[in-house]
Amino acid sequence: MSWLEIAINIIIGSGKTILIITVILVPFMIILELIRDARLLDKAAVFIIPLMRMFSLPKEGAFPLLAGVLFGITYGSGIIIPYGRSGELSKRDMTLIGVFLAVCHGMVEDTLIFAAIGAKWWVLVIIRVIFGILAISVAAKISFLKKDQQEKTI
Amino acid sequence: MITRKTWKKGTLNGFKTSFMLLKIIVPVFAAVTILGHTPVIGYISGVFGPIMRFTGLPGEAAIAFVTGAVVNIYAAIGIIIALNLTPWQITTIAVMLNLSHELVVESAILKKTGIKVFPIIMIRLLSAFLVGGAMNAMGKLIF
Repeated sequence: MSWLEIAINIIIGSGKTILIITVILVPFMIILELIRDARLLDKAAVFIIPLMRMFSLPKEGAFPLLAGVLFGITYGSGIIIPYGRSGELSKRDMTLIGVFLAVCHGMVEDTLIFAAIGAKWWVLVIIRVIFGILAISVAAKISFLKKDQQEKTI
Repeated sequence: MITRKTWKKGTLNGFKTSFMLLKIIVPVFAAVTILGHTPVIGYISGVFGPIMRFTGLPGEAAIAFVTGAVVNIYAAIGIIIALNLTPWQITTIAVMLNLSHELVVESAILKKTGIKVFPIIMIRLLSAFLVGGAMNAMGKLIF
């Protein structure tokens, strides 16, 4: 293979991927901004409160949890870090949320981007959710994270 | 409130991210493609082959996994598209990377909330390889 062929291969190979990703990413970013500006996250948080009760997590945790799941840890950090620091959530609650988010975050973007290069998106979502729930279930069982022994952060 | 600014910001963010990806994916893809014509990839593949075989991925996929785990998903994608993987192999490495990526940056952020990050990194790495193994077994059953 000549250098010219390699160069063409590089341009076409990466160009195609970038193009597909752009086509997916632009509408996704618009939707994220719409959700943010319409304050939909506050409203959606109500729906996950019953789920959070299963792990005896307080409803204050719904917002940072949802932000992380949808926006990702890096984008959602603007919301997550102040919550961790405010002391509104106990160390136990923040750890449980952190454990879940470590596995399940940026669920839309990560999934779309891998779907763009040919991965089966539903496999990605199902496995991450299963492991996220598994991780939070195990963490909730660990003795020092039991609800009755919690201490406040900072 | 949704204003014209909302749409503008979203569109801009989308293109900005794509441009950022372009700067990562193109050089990584180019490097791996060029390396593909040298014995280097074969050597790395030989070293990591035994570990990756457990997940049904070729040894060179280890480069993609390590890059994704340390740097980010986008750099890993530049590598994945340069390797000739089957759709199921792409799904496998995608799941592994979805569980374990950008460990340095994301753990630093989680640490700022005041929680311990070492167990979290362990959970992420362990679950990635567990799932990789499980998907390999599943893939053998399906295909």
